[in-house]
Amino acid sequence: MAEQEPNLDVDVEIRAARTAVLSVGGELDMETAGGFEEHLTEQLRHGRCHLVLDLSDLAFMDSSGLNVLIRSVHRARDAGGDLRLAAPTPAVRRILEITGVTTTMPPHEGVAEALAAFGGAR
Amino acid sequence: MSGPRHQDGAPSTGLPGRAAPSPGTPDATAPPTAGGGPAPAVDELVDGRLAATVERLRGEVRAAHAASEGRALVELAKGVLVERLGCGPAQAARHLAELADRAGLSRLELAADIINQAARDRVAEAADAFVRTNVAEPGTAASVAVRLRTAESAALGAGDTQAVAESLLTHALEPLGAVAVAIWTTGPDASLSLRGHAGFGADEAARWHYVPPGVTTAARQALTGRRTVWYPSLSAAGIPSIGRARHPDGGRVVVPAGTGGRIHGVLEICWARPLDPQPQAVERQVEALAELCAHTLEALPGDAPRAVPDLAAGDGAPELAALSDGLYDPALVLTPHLDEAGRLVDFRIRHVNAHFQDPAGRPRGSVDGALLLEAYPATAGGGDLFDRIERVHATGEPFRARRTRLTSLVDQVPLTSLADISISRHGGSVLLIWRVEDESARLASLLQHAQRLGRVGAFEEDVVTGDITWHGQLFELFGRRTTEPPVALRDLAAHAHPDDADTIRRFLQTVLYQRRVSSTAFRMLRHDGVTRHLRVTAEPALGTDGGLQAVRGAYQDISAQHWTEVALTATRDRLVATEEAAEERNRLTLQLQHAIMPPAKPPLDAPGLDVAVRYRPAESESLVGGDWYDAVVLPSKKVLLCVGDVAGHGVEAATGMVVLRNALRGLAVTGAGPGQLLSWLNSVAHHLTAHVTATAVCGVYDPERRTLRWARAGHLPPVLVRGDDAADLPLLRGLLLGALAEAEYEESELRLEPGDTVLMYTDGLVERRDTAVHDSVAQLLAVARLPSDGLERRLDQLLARSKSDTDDDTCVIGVQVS
Repeated sequence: MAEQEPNLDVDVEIRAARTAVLSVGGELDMETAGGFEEHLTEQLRHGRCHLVLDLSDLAFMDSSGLNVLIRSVHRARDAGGDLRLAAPTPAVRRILEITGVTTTMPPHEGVAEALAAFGGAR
Repeated sequence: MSGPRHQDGAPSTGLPGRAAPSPGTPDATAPPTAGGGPAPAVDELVDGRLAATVERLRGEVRAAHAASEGRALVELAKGVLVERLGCGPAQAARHLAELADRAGLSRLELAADIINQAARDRVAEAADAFVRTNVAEPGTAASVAVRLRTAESAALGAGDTQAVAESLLTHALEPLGAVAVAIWTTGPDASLSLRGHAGFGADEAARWHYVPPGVTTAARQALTGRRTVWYPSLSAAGIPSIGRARHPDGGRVVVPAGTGGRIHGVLEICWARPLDPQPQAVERQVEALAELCAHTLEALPGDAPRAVPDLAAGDGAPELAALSDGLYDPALVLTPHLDEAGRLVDFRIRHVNAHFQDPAGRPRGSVDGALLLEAYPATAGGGDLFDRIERVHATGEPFRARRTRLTSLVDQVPLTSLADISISRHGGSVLLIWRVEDESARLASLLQHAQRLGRVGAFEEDVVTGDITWHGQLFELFGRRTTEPPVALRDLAAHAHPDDADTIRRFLQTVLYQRRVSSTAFRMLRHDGVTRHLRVTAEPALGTDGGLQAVRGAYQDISAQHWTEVALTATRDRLVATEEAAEERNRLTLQLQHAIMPPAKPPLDAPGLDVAVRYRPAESESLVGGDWYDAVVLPSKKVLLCVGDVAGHGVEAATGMVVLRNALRGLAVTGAGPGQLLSWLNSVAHHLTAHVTATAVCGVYDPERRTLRWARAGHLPPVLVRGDDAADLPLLRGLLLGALAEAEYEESELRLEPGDTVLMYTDGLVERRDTAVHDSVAQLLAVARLPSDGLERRLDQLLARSKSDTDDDTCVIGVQVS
């Protein structure tokens, strides 16, 4: 059962010098979490520390995936930016609620709202 | 926070030490200038003294005009220009003359202005503010600058506070419309003594020569509030003060006068008529004058009415140290620590008394002599202890409180305890005494204990270069100074009990030659004769050519408590048994997990409560992870119940699991509630184990009251099975462990009835890729509702019918009230 095909699609769209939107689709679990973290690290390395994750196509997330989100939000905030979650599916939203992550990273309705929340900080 | 708050009018930076020559002014109304004239005799009558002072000041004005000091002022200004413009003195003189002509000022006025700009002190600020807000009248600005400099000079030159008061009223306050001024000093008991006055009359001054502590007057408001207070009308404010009979409706302002974080007195200014809100420029002038008072109060020797010469007698620290050693409670003697600008930034711990015990367990030598905020950074936050000390130092008003929260950091984990606190000022020193409640003291030592349990120190050895990197805690663990070299793995046996030499040799062989991850436990003999049980886990790192490059791993101190010993024995047995057969790290992980957490039911002697547990590791050994459960009877006879899940898999997750499970057990012995326990556990996860997050649900069952108090950290809430119904408990507020440095956890209490069953489980039981958690939990509840033949059977049923498809490991703990 563990030998499932890694199933995660990440599209990166650079919106401004310091802003990027990552669309995450598929399953974010211990198989895919490492690769996903590299995507985020890459953005931070290029100084893009205002990050929005479009989760509208993410069907599943486990604790490994969650761990990447938590590590990355700390790193983005340390770099003077933030990481915002947009449009989680009900299943993923429920995970965020159960783990209490909604209190520290409240998810936004959509990408536009998440970007707007950065305000003039971009 | 640290340092005084300027905007609140707290004591602030001092005037520059430069004894500026005073400007005289050419116009007729100009105030006279004082140099450093001789002090008038203190015992003269007030009127006689006034006359003498006026005469003295006049004489000095003449002298200044005559030549020397006026010229000195101009010379000083020229010096400033030379430095600023990089020109020669002659050029500077020409420049000064040109500028003065162009500005329509006398050279003396311009010189005062230039010095103001160079000095950038409060006098200059006040003058600037006046310039900005009163641009209408040319020449006014210059006269304000000259006036304030004159007041400064007169005040610094005056021999006693009475002369200062007279000088202030004449030079600085009458132009503001004020009719009288009083200068109060504070005694060591927070009493107020009238040290100087002008405009109130001798009789009224005699009536008000002393205000005992605790009597509320206008001046006391400034002292206790540590800020400037403006009264538009004294009678409207309903507050007594000197001269109220003569000017009942007049406005007042009271300003604390302090230096170096300490309030020496209060400047009180009286107007005859009600006072409209004053422009900021005037407020700043008033504060500059209060600062001037503070310097003169500090500089002048204490005179007649003062019983205790607390300013002149040094800081009093040695006497206080001797006194504190006679106390049976822990005490610190603190003296103010000022920065270069004379601002109070911290306190120096001058003495720790005989009964002092550091809450963080450090030797007294590392606290004695340190700065307070460096030794106890937590005093600045939370309980605001630093604020209170600062306040007592500033006002002299002692502070006493029972059951105050004190926060100290124990291995980076904030520990709050309750203590009775007393803070008082003696001379220039502050005495801090506290008595920690017995319960808190017990908690503190237990928490230290628990911290040791989770103590893990990482190391890395570069096999090629021989470089060894040790995590700081390892030096402590090995009892070595940080200046000593770390111990290499190959030399480990030399530091171990001779009986463990073989174990260590086999361990090294596995890691260094067979290049496999391995772990062993041994007894370490430290220099200081202490024997510690350590576990070492090491992993070889291979280069691209397959050669051994480095060895990474960790030591854990596992000697702290009996249960760890038990686990250790089990671990050792298992490891010895598997060492021959172990092929990969995954098996080691599994063994570790089993050793720490046997899948069998733990022996549990809880009256009226059946406990059953199931642990099912992931089928694939590479996925064995960080799930844990615990069920243990605490010394209080209550029962700790917990399941948790460390994110990730493999050795790292299993190590994190061990740390958290150990820490929780140790912490639970303190008797704290589940919310507090999770809050501590969150700190442990955040600080002690790198990049580990975990979820957990924790409950404490009280068999006497049949209640379960519980809290959750990012974990699915427990399920309650009552009769033929099953429901999940509410989603209490609680973030997963390790995400933030500090987190709070909501707590709830559930009263159980006989026959009730509570289930706690990890998400291995419900996690499905194709189903939302909500639906998986609904399915679990459906299974839980099925009738079953006892608790053990119920758990088997749950595992058997689990719909999970993620091959995660799974823990379930069930308790049933019998």
